[in-house]
Amino acid sequence: MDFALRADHKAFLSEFQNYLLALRKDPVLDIEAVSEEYEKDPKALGPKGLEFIQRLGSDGWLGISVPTKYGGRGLGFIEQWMFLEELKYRSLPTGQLLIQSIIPALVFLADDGVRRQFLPLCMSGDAMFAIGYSEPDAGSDLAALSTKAEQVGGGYRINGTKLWTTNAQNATHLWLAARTGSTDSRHKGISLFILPLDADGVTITPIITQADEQTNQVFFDDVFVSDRHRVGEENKGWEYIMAQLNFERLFCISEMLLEFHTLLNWWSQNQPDDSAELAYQRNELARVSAEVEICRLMALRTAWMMDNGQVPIAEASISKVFYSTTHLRASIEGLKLMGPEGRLRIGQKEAPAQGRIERAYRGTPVYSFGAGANEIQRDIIANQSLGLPRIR
Amino acid sequence: MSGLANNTLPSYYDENLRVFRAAVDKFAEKECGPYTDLWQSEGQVPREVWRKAGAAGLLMASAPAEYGGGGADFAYEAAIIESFGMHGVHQFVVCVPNAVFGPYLFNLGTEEQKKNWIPKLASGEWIGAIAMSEPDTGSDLRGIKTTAVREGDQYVINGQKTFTTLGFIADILMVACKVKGKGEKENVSLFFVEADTLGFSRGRKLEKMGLEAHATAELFFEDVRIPADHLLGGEEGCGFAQMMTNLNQERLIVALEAMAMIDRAMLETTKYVKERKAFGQPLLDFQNTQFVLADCSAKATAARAFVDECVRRHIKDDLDAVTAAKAKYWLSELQGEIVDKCLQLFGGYGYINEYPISGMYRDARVSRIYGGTNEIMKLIIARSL
Repeated sequence: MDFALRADHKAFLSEFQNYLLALRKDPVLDIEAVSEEYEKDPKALGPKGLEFIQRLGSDGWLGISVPTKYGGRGLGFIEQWMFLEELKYRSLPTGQLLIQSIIPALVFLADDGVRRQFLPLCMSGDAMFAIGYSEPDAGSDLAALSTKAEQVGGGYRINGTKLWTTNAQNATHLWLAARTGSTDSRHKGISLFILPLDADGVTITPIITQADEQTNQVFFDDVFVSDRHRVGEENKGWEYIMAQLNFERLFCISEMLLEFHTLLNWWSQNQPDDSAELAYQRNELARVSAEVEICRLMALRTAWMMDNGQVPIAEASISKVFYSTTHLRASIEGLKLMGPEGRLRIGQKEAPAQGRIERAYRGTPVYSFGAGANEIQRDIIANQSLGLPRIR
Repeated sequence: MSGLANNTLPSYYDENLRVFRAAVDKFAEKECGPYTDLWQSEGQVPREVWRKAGAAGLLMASAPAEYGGGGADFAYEAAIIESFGMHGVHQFVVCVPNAVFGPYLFNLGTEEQKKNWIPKLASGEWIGAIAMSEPDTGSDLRGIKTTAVREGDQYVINGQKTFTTLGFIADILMVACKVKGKGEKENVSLFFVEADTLGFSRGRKLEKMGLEAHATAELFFEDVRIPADHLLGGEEGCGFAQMMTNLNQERLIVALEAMAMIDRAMLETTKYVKERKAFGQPLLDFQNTQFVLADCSAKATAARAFVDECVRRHIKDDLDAVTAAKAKYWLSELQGEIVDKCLQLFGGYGYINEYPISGMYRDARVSRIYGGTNEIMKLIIARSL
């Protein structure tokens, strides 16, 4: 397996870097303001973020890995990874869910009608998605979901509730899993829908996380969704969900690299005088640096596999588990180096390393249970990679 | 609620302490529990609650009775710390005036200082805090820049302090200063400054992660003139030696706070995994959950044995610095580990502000930093080898 970057990959990256550089002098788009808004809640896409994503869309950057026959650039997942990493590193919104998860799901899973309806909207940045899987009583055990979709003339009537629906407040559509089979049909009776969030009967209630991000609970009260908004076949939703989640885990585009460089920059101006402490801190920084690099290589490997016609399932899970645990540990280490000042919240002017490590400590636990809890990922690794027997 | 790791009170508890603990538990449940969210959003615990705690005999519990203190030993302070921790009301940080600030005053203070201030602190009329860290020095006392200059029968203090727990509401502060005499070398001394003294002011309440109700603040001293007899113990240049006298207790306090949070995290999580179902069975029925919690529980039991032994020794004044450093280091690391593992078992719910485990996660982080960072603890331990 040789996943070294090729010359054309590097050319793509510098093309994109030059594009972003030119955008800094843009007369219309204020990229500093975009970045400022993004730093406030990286998991939500506010008005400036949306403007930025739509600009990327109109300049042809949102369909990097989409085949040319659907209007994309027809490049690979490695380019897509580079694109996302570059944006994260510059503290700009990525539309990651859209690019890494929804667009590939539309390309690979949806039928042609849905694909032609939504891909153009996605690639222009006019459609923004939130994911509607989890429910109050269906988390890791997703097949227990109970939001109902009943057939009515021309479509379905949705009733129920979804939890942890991040970015629902800004999204135009919900990628919704609902039960079309009998109550106890578990994974055999689930279908996927693309639900416009401005539909009658949708209520969005915010929930604030410990990292000050907004996530939501979404309620459906007799919400109508048309047949044409069903993704793939009825009752086949479970397969699509598994594939979509795998896309989501495919590569962890990490703000860790930016955090680490910010930390390093702070540290180089605040080195301890005590030689024993200096030795310890050097050692820890080196360790974190190695782990950040491993995360990047794992991401690159999964992208490379996709580009070579392989489906990284266990590899995506391995990458996700390693990334989530490493990221948390790196933030703990960063706070250790900073001492009491490290607890100053992001946004306070005295906060060291711009408060990025403080927020990382509050924000990183989400990666350990989001996109499939690590406990479930280890199960996938045991089954898919090691061929160990299933338990349950 | 006793709810300790093995569901019993520590073995050093006698009947009197059991009665006291029950009273503290009741106070925590009734007077604190319902209000902690409010306190956190306000960034401080209201004065009336301090007064209630004073009336209930919780303030200055271990100060000598002849000055209006409770006359008890450290086990009573430990009982307050553990009870508040177990009830999740630990942000009402009584242990700072009681067991961090207090001992300087009642062990090292002059007769007059004790008579003046202990009664006010015991009633909750006043709150005491320690101002040591400065913007550029952290906890390294040698680097402090705040100065005190003797002028006649006064000292004039100039400088800035930060990260002062309770600084925003304290009425009396013990301030570490460098004393400049004429032609003499600089020395570090500790002074009591009453908050209504001219030239003393407070900056913002610092917004920080965790322990939001600690009223942590920046403090400014601009030509603050205090009577010369506000010098702790009445003798200049003893600052370092004085600070050393209470270090073991301060570290033991961090260990006890950690222990209480470990017990609470285990209790909350065990309850949750019994109720929450996935794949048709309670989370507790999964081997992963069992292994994670069994591991945490075994470590919690070992931690309990260790920390109780430390308290027992400390009461007899027999706790050495290395063991205290080990307790602070190991318990606070374990606290972080266990709270993190417990949060994971809550999944998304554990990540939401209103769930107690999320609060514990944020509050736990500083244990590894304050009371001397764990790296310093390891150096202390290593030097003894």
